Amino acid sequence: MKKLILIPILLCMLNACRTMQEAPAPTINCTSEPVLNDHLASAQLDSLLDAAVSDGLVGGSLLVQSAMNGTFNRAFGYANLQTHQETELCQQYRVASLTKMFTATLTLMLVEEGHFELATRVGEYLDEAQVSGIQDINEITVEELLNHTSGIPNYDDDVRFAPMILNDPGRPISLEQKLQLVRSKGGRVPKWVIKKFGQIYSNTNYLLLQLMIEKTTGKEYAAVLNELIIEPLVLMNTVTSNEEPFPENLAIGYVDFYGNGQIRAVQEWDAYRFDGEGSIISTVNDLQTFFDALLSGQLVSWEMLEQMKNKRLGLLQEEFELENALGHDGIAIGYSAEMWYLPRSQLTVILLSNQGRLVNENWSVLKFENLLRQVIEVAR
Amino acid sequence: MKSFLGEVKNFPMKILTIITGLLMSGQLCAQNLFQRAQYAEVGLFVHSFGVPFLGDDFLKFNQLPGISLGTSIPLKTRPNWQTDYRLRISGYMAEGLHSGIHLDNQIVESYRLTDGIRLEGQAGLGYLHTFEDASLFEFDGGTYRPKRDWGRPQVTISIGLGFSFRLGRNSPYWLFAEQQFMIQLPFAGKSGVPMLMHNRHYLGMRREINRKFWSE
Repeated sequence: MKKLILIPILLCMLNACRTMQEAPAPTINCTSEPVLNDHLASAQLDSLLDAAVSDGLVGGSLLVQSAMNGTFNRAFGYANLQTHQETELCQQYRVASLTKMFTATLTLMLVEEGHFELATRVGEYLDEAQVSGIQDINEITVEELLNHTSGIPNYDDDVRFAPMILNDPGRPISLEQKLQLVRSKGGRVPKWVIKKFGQIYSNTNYLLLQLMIEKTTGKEYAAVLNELIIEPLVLMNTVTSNEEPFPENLAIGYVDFYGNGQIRAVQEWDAYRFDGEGSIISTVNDLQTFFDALLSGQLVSWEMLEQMKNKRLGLLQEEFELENALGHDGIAIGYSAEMWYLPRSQLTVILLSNQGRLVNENWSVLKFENLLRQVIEVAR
Repeated sequence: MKSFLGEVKNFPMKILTIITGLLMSGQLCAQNLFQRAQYAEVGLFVHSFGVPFLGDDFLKFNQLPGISLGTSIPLKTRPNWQTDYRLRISGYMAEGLHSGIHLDNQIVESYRLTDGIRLEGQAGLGYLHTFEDASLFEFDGGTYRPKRDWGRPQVTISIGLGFSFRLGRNSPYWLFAEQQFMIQLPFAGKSGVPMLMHNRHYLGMRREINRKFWSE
């Protein structure tokens, strides 16, 4: 009898003592440009970041650029908790849904080149095999994909998606597999719901935009991104996870997955699942270069930029202390990203972190968003 | 105040764990398992997380290995029917996520199709202890420090269908195959995954210990 009880105890002890799978350590080989921190509130911003790290934020990078108050640029916390390696400004992060701004920009560049229009119906442009089974696809336009008014369900809301990730974390999940979740589920969010809420956010919209980009150019999404945005803007530290899932300067991503106050490395979990909806890995400086170029009319015309802002094509609108902002946020497992421009204050804030926002009660959402709001309040 | 479960901060989870533990120890002691055991079994299974019968995922993804040991005692015998209590201990590895040690209490209803073939249905309530396949860190004193992984206690609810097949006339050895669906909870509710569904395909061997229960 005693022996029987001892078996599970011994198995537990063996398991607790086994060697854990260690996350690969990031190697910092990049050289950051000398940083001019001339923002009038630099000391306050430093204090905010120090307080955030003291309060449990693992690490990240912050870039603030204000036309009136100057620039602030700083990395904070740790890129690897195992080795206590501190973050550098050239540290890369998965930026998740900030990728949608890049995908939207590529789409609008192709619209301006005359390949298709915002009013083009997706089902009529793409091959039938690509879009078969997606309800009402022949009625849905490019514009509706860009501003999340298509009503196409979000593939990662499907009950099968989480087990797909957890069954084999780091397993490649193809664009076609993600579309298959939507096809087999069927259905479309009714128009009245979209009208009521303005938008129904769906990653699937940006998978279809990727297909439009690839069909138009005859090239893969990453190649088009390189050709039209990354190379012209010299974004040296920007890649897609499809090309390079673990670039050498990628900070290790952590998350309190079970909400029990213990965090673990999870940077593999989203390494191979994203496409045009979230695959970009980048730095705050590269993101700033892209955002500046976009908002200064270098990538699309002023007219198109106005449409992008007014119709929320790849840009979300958020209100910070009664001031409207344009930009996007991003959530990958183990990573958080925010990139916003406040036109009235002429302020850009880019905040990246290697701590995920999966839990609703602690760092994940509230504290990270509070930090962003505090930064904006101090910086403008 | 920290309980003997130390790491468990969720109060309902503690209650569930204690109830399950008491049930299991009660069963073990009261039934005098070794004296009444009708067979001992060893099984190998392939394992996956996935929602059964939605798409083909639960078949495609079954690739995580596991092993189980078990025994059973009869509770009620009727012509061609038998109700058993079965205790199974199993371990599995889900690389990149966790490994698990599982103790399952099952009620098994079996039907004798012929002298050498039995059909079985099972329902179970179990205890699962999982260990993360990664280093853990806890925020302590203003910084993150490595944290020893003592595992997370969880409860499982399972159902299964299978059959067993005697290997030759009067042989004490039986081959069994089983498909089991199991829910693990609470899993990661705050991350939007309150429970995790398991699918297991078992294949194993049983050796009769007390033939009067199993072979008559």
